[in-house]
Amino acid sequence: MARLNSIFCSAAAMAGLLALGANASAGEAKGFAVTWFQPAMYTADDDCPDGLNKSPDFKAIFAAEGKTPEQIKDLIDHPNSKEFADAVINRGPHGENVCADPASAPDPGQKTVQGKIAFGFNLDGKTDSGSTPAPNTCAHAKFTSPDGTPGIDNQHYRALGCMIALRGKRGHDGFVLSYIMERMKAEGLRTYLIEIKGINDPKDNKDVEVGVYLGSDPLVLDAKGEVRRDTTQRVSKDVRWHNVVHGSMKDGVITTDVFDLNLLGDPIWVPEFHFKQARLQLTVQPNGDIKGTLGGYQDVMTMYYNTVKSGILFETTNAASCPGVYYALKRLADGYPDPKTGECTQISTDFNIEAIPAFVLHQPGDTGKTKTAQATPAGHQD
Amino acid sequence: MNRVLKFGVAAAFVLGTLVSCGNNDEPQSSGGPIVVRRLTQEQYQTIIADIFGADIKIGGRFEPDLRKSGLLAIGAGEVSVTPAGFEQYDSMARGAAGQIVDEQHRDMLIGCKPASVKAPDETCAKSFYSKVGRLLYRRPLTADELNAQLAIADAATVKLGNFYTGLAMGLTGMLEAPQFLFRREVAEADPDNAGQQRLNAFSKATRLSFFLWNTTPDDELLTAAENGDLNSSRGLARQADRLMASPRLTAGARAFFNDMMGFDAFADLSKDTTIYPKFTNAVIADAQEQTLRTITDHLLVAKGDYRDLFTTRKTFMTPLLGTIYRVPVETHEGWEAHEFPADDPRAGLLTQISFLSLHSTPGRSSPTIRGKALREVLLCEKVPDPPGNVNFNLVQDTKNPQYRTARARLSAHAIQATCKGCHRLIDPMGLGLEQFDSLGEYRPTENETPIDASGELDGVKFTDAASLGRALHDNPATASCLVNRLYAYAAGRAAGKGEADWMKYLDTSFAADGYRLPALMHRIVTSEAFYRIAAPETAAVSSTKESAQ
Repeated sequence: MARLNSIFCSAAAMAGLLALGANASAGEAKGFAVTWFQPAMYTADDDCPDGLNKSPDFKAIFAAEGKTPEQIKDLIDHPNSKEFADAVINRGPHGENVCADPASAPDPGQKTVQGKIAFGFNLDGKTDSGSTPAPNTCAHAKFTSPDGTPGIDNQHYRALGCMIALRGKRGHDGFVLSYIMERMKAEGLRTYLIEIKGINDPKDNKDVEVGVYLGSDPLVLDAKGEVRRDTTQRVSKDVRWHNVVHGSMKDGVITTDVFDLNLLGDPIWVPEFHFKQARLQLTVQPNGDIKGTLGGYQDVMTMYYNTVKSGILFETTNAASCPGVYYALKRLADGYPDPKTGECTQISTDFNIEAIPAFVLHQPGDTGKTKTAQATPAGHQD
Repeated sequence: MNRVLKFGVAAAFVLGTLVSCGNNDEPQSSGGPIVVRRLTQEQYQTIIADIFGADIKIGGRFEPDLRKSGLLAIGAGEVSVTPAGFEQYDSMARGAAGQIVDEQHRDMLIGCKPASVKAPDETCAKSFYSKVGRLLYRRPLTADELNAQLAIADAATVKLGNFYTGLAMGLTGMLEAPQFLFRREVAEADPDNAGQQRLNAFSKATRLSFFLWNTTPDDELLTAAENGDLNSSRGLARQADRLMASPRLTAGARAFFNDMMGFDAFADLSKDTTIYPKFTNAVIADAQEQTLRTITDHLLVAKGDYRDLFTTRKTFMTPLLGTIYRVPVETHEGWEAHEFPADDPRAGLLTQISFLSLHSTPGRSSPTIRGKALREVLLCEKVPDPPGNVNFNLVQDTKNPQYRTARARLSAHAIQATCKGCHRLIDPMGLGLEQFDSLGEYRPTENETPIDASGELDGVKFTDAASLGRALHDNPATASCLVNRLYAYAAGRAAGKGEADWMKYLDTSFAADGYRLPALMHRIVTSEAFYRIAAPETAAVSSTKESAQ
């Protein structure tokens, strides 16, 4: 396999395309190290007509808590103090921590995306935003992809896309996301690997096997501070983070079947990723890189706690409120309804992915333990 | 195995047997002049480590080396120590001496204890200076030298009130003495050849040790010098065999190839990292090490044919190098063996990152620089420097849509009569390596135009880098160049006119030995010619033209 990768890399660099395999039945394999894996936030000028979310009005909170003007001034003058943080976060009706217990506070009204365009997939099969939802989903509005594909589901973006921290010029590199990725790369915090097997043609292959793995080696940077290309990366021996799924390649675009994806998360924000009904679409770039999107459903409460885990820092830095995020995610969740309440427990989420050529090595004991990932049936509750 | 090869192997065996008993078929040689060579930085550091231990740290900057006739080993005979350089030596000597006598090391390194720490102890000091002085000066200290050291130590001990501080003062003086910093050879009359001179036994020991181990003679070798063993062919062969059987032979071979390949230039190597972001200092270190490992593994471990270094697919790889060669490297840290497949564009030392990156400009590859290096480093030819008024704009403009490859740019550039001759000599060889960029990364196209890597080396056509390596392998000058360089490295000077038969003999023997480096080294160190000192009128060294023939 390593040898196949070697041939492949050279060929990719030469032609800017995937290399042809000499053995058509087996096909070649190509490895990649992921350099970007963050929520797909499509940023446009008109997608938040109500404006962007803001941090809570701290003065109003303190006043409502019965603080005197002097106390309020003292708190405002010391925004990094524990007293400030406690006074802001513990603002529930009975002094509850509103980030830990968001339902204790009323919905402040998170501003959500009103735009029509988003990255992502049509997860439920419907192409319109009609009032009748697809089976095992909740009614929700649909997006259109940047290339005009209708029926896109990305309610996570709809809920959080009007937060300044998640917005950026490129559509997906809000400063918090960039900060996380830069730290992950610079500090070698997490490595994800993609392996595509069974490539017999540079552009069109009916059957390919796509593996998404946790890597066990940190990413290495080059002299420009970018992730070094063509490194050798070992797949983690922990098979919980092995995801192998069938896919196909058409005109250089790889699309997988539906599967469940499980990955150990980054230590900064998300402890673990669990995408249900996931699918992956990756496009081979002229320089041999791949770019694309991962879409699927993620648990609402897990997403909430992952998002606001820094508490006061989240509310001040990200310019949003914990209860606002909580209610928005709950309100816009669109998958896996609770059989009893009918409320959806999962929310459609899309992540943008970028990856560069790498040699993906399976360690002894790894091969054969990976079973093809299965998709959790829609409506199934864990 | 074909008949010629069988004969070669058989001949090598027979000659190898003969070599152990001395080179009876050795032709007459005039020898050369005695040479005084300054220790290199590596030699200085190795000697300190050998005598006092690797944990004695040497801080400071060494005097720059001088490359002469293709070798620093020859330049070492033409350098001195500047006042600023002496300050550095003094600083390094004080630092080393201080560590050697400190409480952590003194019991182990000094070998005796003074009667009183606060007073001179001549017996202990004498024992110490005699022991280390013999290793540092590569001969026993004379009585005057020893007495001078003792006087310094005594005076310093009395003044400073501490035996060890006084001892360090004397040791500092030894570490910055010319007897240590310079390998000064001494000649004596050759009793076996009336009217001729040879190196004395200690100078023989020094040549042997620095050539084979790149360090000072060890105790056994100095003892062999003292008791006259080195002046008998049997005794000399016994010591040569011992040194060559040691793992330290690798250090000696590495030092030679480090010099021959010009790896000292890596210290000044830079690349435009916006173009070559994979280039880092760690890559430089790994690239040098890769080549030296390839060489020593092939020549010393596998006992391979020297010429095969230019065709071998075998090498060693680190994870970092793997990113440039674009091959997977299974080991997470350190080195692993790697073999490129038969259809891979890489084969031999020419296609290793060390050669490719060292002989390129910071921002682009250069067929001219690479071709010149190939001629000068590996074929021992001298290529003139370009005229001062050459306009390089056309060659440097890699984005010129009219000339999309280096071949096209050079064709347009080298039309002037003053340039044409040299370019015709060196460019075709460099163009054979054009499928590798300035860093050494494979690229079959330039500006989306396929790179034509075909060319000709001294009448032998090649189609790519691998076949260029084959042409170099088959070129008679390749092996002769190594013989020439190796002997010059060992002797510290280029072979003189009076040594023509000797050099021819080495050429022939090298071929008969299957181009095996150990056999060549052994043949040199067990010869009489290697230690012969010429009368002044026959010792003229050819400095204007090096002959690899």
